[in-house]
Amino acid sequence: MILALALHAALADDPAPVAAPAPVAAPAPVTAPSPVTAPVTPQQAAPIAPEEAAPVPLDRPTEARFRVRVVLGAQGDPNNRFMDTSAPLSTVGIGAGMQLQKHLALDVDLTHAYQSGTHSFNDATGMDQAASASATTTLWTERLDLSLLAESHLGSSFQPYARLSAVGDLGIARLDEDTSDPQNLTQLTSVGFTGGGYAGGGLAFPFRVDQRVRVVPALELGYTVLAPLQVGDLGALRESGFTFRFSSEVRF
Amino acid sequence: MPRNSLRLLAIAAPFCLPLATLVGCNSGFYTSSDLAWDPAVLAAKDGVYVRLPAAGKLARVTSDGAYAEVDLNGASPDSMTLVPGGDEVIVHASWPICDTARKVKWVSDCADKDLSYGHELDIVSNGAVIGTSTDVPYQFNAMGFNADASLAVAYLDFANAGSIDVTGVLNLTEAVFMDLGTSEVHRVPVGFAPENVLFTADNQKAVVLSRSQVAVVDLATWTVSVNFPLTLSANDVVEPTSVVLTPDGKDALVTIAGSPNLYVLDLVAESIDIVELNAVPAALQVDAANDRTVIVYANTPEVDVLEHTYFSTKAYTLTEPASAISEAGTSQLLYNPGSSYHDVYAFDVASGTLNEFRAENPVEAMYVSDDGTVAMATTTPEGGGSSGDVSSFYDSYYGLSIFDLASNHTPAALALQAAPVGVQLVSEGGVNTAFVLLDGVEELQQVDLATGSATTLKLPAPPVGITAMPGGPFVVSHASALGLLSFYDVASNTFVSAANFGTLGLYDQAVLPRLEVSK
Repeated sequence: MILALALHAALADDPAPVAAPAPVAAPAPVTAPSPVTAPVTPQQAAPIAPEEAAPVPLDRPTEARFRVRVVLGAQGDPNNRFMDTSAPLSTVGIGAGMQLQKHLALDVDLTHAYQSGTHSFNDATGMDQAASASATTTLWTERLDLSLLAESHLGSSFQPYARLSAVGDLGIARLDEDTSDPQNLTQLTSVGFTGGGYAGGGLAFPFRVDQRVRVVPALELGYTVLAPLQVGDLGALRESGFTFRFSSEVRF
Repeated sequence: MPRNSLRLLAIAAPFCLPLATLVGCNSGFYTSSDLAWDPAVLAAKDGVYVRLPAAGKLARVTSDGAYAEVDLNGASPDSMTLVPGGDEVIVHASWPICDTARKVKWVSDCADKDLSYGHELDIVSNGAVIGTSTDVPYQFNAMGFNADASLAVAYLDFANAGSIDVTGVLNLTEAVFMDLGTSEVHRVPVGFAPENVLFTADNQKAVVLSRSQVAVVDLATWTVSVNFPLTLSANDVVEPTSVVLTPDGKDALVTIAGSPNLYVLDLVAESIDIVELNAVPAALQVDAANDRTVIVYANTPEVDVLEHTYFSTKAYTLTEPASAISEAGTSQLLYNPGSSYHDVYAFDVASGTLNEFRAENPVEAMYVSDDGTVAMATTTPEGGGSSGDVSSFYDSYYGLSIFDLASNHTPAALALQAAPVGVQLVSEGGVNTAFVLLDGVEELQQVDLATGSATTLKLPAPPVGITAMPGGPFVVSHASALGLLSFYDVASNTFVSAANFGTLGLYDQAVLPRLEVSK
């Protein structure tokens, strides 16, 4: 449905862009008036263009072509024994993009996620000397999204849009018995890479700062599908799930 | 509200939720009901075998620090036993079975009523299973071996009765013999509650103690060749506690719980003789060189020597009772561990000479060097404290007492910082050295037993135990959640550590059937 909305927004017959000048009728040829004094009859008005068709006002905003943003968000529920938390992965990132067409933009986003927890081991027999030991679990991910955005210009105060992304995800998982000692032997770090896709949609709320710059906060919800992230002996981490994105973008 | 403030609020509002998430919600807590690894490792010739209870795996760690999973075909190791000599490890293993018509992949998805476990006994060598049997009941939690370790016997150890699971029917009247070469199993009914098995030196017979009787099993026919009743009345219950065989294998000497009677079973003539002792014996030790048996008593300060022809005894008086015997060269070392007694005796059986040593504090355990020339006891604190003399000072510490058995004097009494958690003695180049681990101390104490001088070697983490690979390095187990072993090579004085083997398969999800493994 999100995709359909995006296509609809991209292909809809929107009003002409406000920046494009409307056709203006050519003014009637102006000649010097004859020195006629009488009789005075109402002068035939020459056909003139309506006021709306006047040349573009000087303060009209120009179309933004580039955009940069910061992104905060939350991604899915890792849902694996390694992290075992109901909290989603918190993400923070930066992005940039450019307008390809009037309703189509290309975005690149790099987001970083971090999550930590504790894995505790209890001795079921209650007899062992190393009972009730624990280790800190940590997961970092660096996610790269290459997105196509279909944007609609339904209103001046908000703009719905849809996003379709190819996603690459680099994950670093670590089990560490003593995080205060970076050289301790009982520290296991594994790195994995996975890929997948994302589809989502959101609302942007543009504010014009000046003629060339707009600030656009946006709220977005979607779903990420990623292949399990294989991190050696630390298992396969599942990162798929609903994804929230909150961004603040500068378009210029 | 000014317009700019509204804009600012609109921009900032979406960030509040993720910021809150970043601050407070990005942590998890996962608890395994089992340890990642069991520090009670087995040091075989080809490596150290480690159970990984949380993952349900078996790992082999080699002395170069490498580790790998031992493929048990999807089964989980429940317990394991090292075969004497260190060539093989016997593993009791189990695997889940989901008895349902519907397709179930994850063990966690199988209903409790449908879930059961299969059991097998695996023989593992060089990191691989070389033999398997499902005919050994998994409840048989103790194992014995014959002299050349070609034959194993499994039986119930009622000292750990709490761990014996009775599901369905458990036969309490049989011993199970297993040929370690062919994995062939023979179940032999030997009487109620068999719990101590001894093989004759010629590997022709096994003597099995059970309640009120002793059975002799013919290992050629796998039948009981003779059954010795220990009582004439079915109403009387007699519990045999220990058995030794005379050097010629002709007689078995059996002690009885709470009784001063020593049963002498003639395995050839199939007759029983009873020797009445002065008290309930605490320990028997056969002195093969002198063809005698040494007997001590926990509460009677006396040592008896039993000759093997007429089974008559000769008593020697001690100052304090001894309850344990260790062979030390040509002597027998008598001591009383776990009591308040301090005396240690070197008893020469041939001459009847008793040399008395005195440990500064009560003896906890005794260690004898390979050449039998020196012994070392770990001692426990005994009150002590405030009187300001050296005895009072020493009383408050764990300690080491070293006994020079050749010169009959005690060269050193060492005070220890903490309780000893592991001791190994090594004789190399005529020098006897003790390696001692102390609880919570990240050092290996290296004690020269000739002088009592100690040096230390830094460890990577606090130790919990020490063992030795047959003919190889010492293996130190450390307090660690994820697994940490150190291999110490005495000759090169080097440590090699292996870490994190407890994570093998830790995050795999158990699947059905046993052959499948899922990451």
